[in-house]
Amino acid sequence: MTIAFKPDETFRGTYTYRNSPKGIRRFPFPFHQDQYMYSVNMEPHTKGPEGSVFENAFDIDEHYIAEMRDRAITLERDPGRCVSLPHMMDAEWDTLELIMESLSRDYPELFTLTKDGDRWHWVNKPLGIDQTFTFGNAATLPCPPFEYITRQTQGDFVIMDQRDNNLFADSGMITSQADWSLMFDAGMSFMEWHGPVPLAHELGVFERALKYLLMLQQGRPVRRLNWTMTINPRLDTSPETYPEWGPDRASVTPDNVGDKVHLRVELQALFRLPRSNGMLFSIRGYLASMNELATYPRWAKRLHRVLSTLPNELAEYKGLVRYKPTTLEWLSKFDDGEVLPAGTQPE
Amino acid sequence: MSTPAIKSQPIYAELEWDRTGTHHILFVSAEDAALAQRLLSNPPGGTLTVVHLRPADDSRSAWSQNLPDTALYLETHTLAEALEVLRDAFYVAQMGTRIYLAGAEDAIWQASQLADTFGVSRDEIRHAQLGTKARPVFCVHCRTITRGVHTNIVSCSGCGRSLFVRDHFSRRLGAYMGFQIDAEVPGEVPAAEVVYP
Repeated sequence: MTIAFKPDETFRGTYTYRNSPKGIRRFPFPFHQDQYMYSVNMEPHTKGPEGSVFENAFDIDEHYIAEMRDRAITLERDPGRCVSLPHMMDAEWDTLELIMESLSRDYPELFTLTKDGDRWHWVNKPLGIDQTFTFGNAATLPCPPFEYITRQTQGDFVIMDQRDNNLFADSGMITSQADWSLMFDAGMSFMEWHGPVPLAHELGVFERALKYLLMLQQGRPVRRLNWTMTINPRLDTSPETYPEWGPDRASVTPDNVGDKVHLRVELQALFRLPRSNGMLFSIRGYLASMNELATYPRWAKRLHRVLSTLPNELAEYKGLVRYKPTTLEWLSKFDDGEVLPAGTQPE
Repeated sequence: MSTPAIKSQPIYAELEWDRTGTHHILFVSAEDAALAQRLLSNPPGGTLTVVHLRPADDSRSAWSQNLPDTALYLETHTLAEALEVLRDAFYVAQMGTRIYLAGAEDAIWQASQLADTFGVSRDEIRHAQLGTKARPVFCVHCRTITRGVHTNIVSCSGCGRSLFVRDHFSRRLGAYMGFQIDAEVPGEVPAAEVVYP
């Protein structure tokens, strides 16, 4: 399988990010039904169909090079987007090992890893990186191991430390988040970190999720999908830079909604780490504009119904309030009322 | 007891001694005569150190009376001084030490941050909110903490933005989150109301 990278696309300023038809087709559309509500929708993160976003442990797609450049820009503006508390060094190496082994196994034409005892040789062809280092010795890498490998992997990452029957968000590389702040949330317990999410606590979702995650075993990762909406194909929708992207929410008109409004889906996966007993939480984001999604009318119909029945608390929390009516109006053109059987498939 | 709006907001239980401890460090920065009477009249076993932040006047404080004979009482007059004294107390603390922090959130969570630097775990430390409900507010844009905030909207002491004060609380930073309330439509700032007396 070859990936046609689009190294020059941008996620700010000119916003030239677009999905290829193949990219749209593999978009992880998250709505099985016409209504949405929180649930503990976790399933084993096992190898999915070829070409799907579930095929590999860490999905690499056509946006890889451009996304990594956008991450570097964000980190240069704000190094605080990568935080790792001092006791997390073992978990950092666990993460580097897991990602390097996965990528070199799943994409041998793009990444190679050769080991000679503790001497490791890592080659990342798309980014032009060739690095020899000593596993376990941070001084042999240009930056700490967690930052090093997550500068080369699409998606945001949190490492959770497990102690006192709880999970603490003690490391993170967060440059493409749906409006939550690593600088603020670092060190929080699982419940505290998810504190601002409405309704889900009352449903017991986080309590059940935590119980389930505490028992997660090595080699048996799990995954779930989460979603929100974003104006413009912007990765950095952090609270820190809200003054920069907040005004975009007030810029949606009936004429630009197809281009500007994006469905943002997170493929979240959780991996137990072997030495530290920590847990790697990968948050792999996908963006598709309304125009792109509507190339499959089934998705446009489904999204129209999900948005029109979304509880107000969720619309508010996800920041959709200002542009939801315009988006619904636009989507309604596609919704002929056809009964849609359950399932997320595009056709 | 306070009812938190969201899960990160601290819940303060009635302060009680943790009698599984063999050494006790109590930091208090606000008056509560009933609590002082209740705690000090029935002290825990083992050593007790009281670090007291009190105004520099002559008023008698319930926290300085009825102390057990064995208690070490340390009086301080500024938060900075109290934190220094507390640091010394943590520095010499032994296994089995329990820590009690009682006062305004700004003070007790700064003390809590200090305890964190000594590797104190969450179950060895108890917090109680006394006195003002004023909030320390962390500006998520410029990272300045504005202290003593009584209103739901406040001008950031660092960048001047009008911040909405959320209920989302970080123990590590010892502050509530504030974000620019008029980011989407600049200038659209509602009137601030006193909600944290």
